[in-house]
Amino acid sequence: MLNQKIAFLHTKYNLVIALLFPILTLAGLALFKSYELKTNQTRVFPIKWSHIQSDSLQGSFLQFSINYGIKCVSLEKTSRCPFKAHICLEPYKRIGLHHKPDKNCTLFIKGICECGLLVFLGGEGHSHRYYIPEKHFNKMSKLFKNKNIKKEVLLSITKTGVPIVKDILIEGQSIKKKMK
Amino acid sequence: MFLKTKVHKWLKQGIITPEQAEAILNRERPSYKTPHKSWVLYGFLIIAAVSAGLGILSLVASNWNFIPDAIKLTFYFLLMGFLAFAIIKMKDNPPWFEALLALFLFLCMGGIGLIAQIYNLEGGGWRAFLLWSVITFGLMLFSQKQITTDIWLFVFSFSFFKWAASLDSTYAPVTACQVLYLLFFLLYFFCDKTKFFLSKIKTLTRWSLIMGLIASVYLFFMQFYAPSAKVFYIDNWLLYLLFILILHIMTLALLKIYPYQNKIPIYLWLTGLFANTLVWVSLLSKKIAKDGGQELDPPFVLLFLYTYFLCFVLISLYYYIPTTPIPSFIKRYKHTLVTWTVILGGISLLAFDQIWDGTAYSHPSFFYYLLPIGLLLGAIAYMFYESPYKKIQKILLSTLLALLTVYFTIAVHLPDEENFIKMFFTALILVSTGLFAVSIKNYILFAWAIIFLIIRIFIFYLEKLYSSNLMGISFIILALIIVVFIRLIQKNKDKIALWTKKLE
Repeated sequence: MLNQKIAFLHTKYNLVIALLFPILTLAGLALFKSYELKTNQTRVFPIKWSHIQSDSLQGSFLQFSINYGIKCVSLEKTSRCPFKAHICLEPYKRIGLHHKPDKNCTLFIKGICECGLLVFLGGEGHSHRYYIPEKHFNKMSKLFKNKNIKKEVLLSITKTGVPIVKDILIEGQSIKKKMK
Repeated sequence: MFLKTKVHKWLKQGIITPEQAEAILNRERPSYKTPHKSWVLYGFLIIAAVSAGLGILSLVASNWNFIPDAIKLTFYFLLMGFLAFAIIKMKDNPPWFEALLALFLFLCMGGIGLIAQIYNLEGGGWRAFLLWSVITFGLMLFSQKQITTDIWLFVFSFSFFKWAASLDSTYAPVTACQVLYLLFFLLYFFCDKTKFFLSKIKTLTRWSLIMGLIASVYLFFMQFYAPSAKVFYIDNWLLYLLFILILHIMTLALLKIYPYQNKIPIYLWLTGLFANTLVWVSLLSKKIAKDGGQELDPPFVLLFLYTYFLCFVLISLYYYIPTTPIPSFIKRYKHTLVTWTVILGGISLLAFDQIWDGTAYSHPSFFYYLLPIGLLLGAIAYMFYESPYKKIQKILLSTLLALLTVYFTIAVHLPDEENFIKMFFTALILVSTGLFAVSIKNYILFAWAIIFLIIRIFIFYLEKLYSSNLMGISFIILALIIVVFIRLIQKNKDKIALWTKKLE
C-alpha cells in the first residue's frame, strides 16, 4: 500500500505538474507586473541625495534617496522608531501610521520612518538603485556630481502602495535620452 | 564513500569476511571496482566549468541593457520549456535527471531575478527566496539528492525567518526559529513513520539539528544588540528560560532517536546550550541593562564559566566509573563529553585573558599569542609521538597548523592593501589541506578545500577587476588554463599516481 502511494507520487503526470507550476507562476507574475506597470499611477519626486558607483560584483548603478516632501515628526511619539508608516498622496498629502491608510486615501506610498531625523523612506526603507550601462558610467557620474542639475525620479505606484522606480529625470528629461 | 569506510571498518572488526565486503561494495556501487577513479581531476573540471559559466554570465550581464525586455522573457520561457521537456525524457536516467532538475531549480531563481530586474521590483531578497521555495517545493520532492533538499531547506528557512523578522512583533524572529525547528522535527517523524520520501530523512534530521543550533545562537546573540537596530532582546529571565528549555528538550529528544554515529550534532548542541545558559545566568544576575547595554559582569561570568567547566569535568569522570549505569544513547557520546570538557577548559582560559584584561581587545597581550602557539606546539608534539600518521602526513599537517597560526596571529591584522598576501596565505592553507586530504583519501575534505580555494580566488579576482567585460574574459581565460592543466595531468597520469601513493 505504501509503495503504491510512493509510486503514485512519482508518476509522470505529477512530474509534469511540478514542472509546469513554476513556469506558469512566473509567466503569470511577468504578465501581472507588465499590466501593473502600464496601469499604475505615476508621480515625480525630487531626489534628495545620490551616489554613483561601479564595481565588478554589483555593476554600475546610481544609489539615491527620494524627498517625499513630508516628515514623520508628527508621528514621533506614537511608536518606537523605526516604525511603519505611509504617505497618502490623493486626495491630499498627509502622513499616517502603519501600511494601511484609511478608505479616503486613494493613492498612497508605504514605507518606514527612520530614527534620528524621522525621515520617511518609501518601500522597504532603503535607498533606491538605478542601474546604468557600464559604458555610460563616466558621463552619468559627471552629471550626478553636478549639484546644480535638477534630478528627479518618476515613480510608478502600485495599488498596494509599493513605489517602483520607472525612470530618472535629469532637468526634466529621461536618463535614457541623456545616455544616447 | 561513506559505505566504503563502513565496510572497511566492519572488515577490521571481523564482522564480515573479505568476500562479503567485496560482494557488498560490488552490489551497492559498481564504480568501486575501479578504486583509482580520478576524483581529483573532477574537482578541477568543476572549477573550469564554473569559471567558464561565470565568464559567460559576466559578458552577458555587461551587455544586458542592449537586449529588449520582450526578447529576454521569451528566451527565458522557451529555455524553461525545453528544460522541462528534457527532464521528463530523462526521468529514468538518474544522473541526467538530477543534473537537469538542479539546473531547472537554479533557473527558477534566475527567472525571478529577471522579472525583478525588468520591472524594477524592490522589496528585499527574502520575498524572492520565499517565492522560489513555494514554486519549487514539488520539484524538490522528486529529487533523490540530499544536496538539493539541503539547499531548498536552507532557502526556505532563511526566507521564512526574514518574513517573520519583517513583522511588527518583537518575538516573531525567535518564534520563527522555534517553529522551523518543530516543523523539521515533525517532518522527520512523518517520513520515518510513514516511509514516505525516505531519501529526505537524513537531510531532515540534519536540518532539525541545524535549526536548533540557529535558534540557540539567535537567543544568545540577540541579547547583545542595541534596541535601535531592528532586533529584539528578552529582558525577562523567565521567558528566556522557557525559550531555551523548549529548544533544548526538543534537541535532547532528537538526539535520543538520532541514528547516526556522527559526533558533530552533540558538539553543536553543547555549544548552543553553553551560549544560552551563559546569557540566562547573566539575565538572572540582572547584569544586562534595560537600555540595551551589553556589559556583563566579568567576575560573575568567569565564575559561571569555571563552574560550568567543573560540572562537565565531574560528569565526564562520573561516566568513566565502570559501574555507573549509563543510558544507551549517552553511552556512545561518552568520549564526546570528554572532548567538550577539554574545549570548555580552552574557552575558560581564553575568556580569562579576553574578559579580565581590559586592553586585550585593542592591544593583544602576550598571552593572546601564547595560547595559539602553545596549542600548535602541543598538537605537533602529539602528532609526532602518538598519531598513526606517516612522516609525510605529519609534515603536511604541521605545515597546515603553522600556516593557520601565522594567518590568525599576523595576516589577519594586515591592512586591506595587503589583500594579495592574505589571499596567498589562504591559498597555501587550502592547498596544504587538499594535499593532506589526498594523503588520507578523504574525498570530502579535498572537495571542500577545492571549493574554498575557488571562492577565495574569485573573491580576489573580483576585488581587483572593475569591468564586467574584462572580468568575463578573464574568467573564460582561467577556465581555458585549467582545461590545459587537466590535459597535462592526464598525459602524466602515471607519474602523478606514483607521487600520490608516496603521500598515503
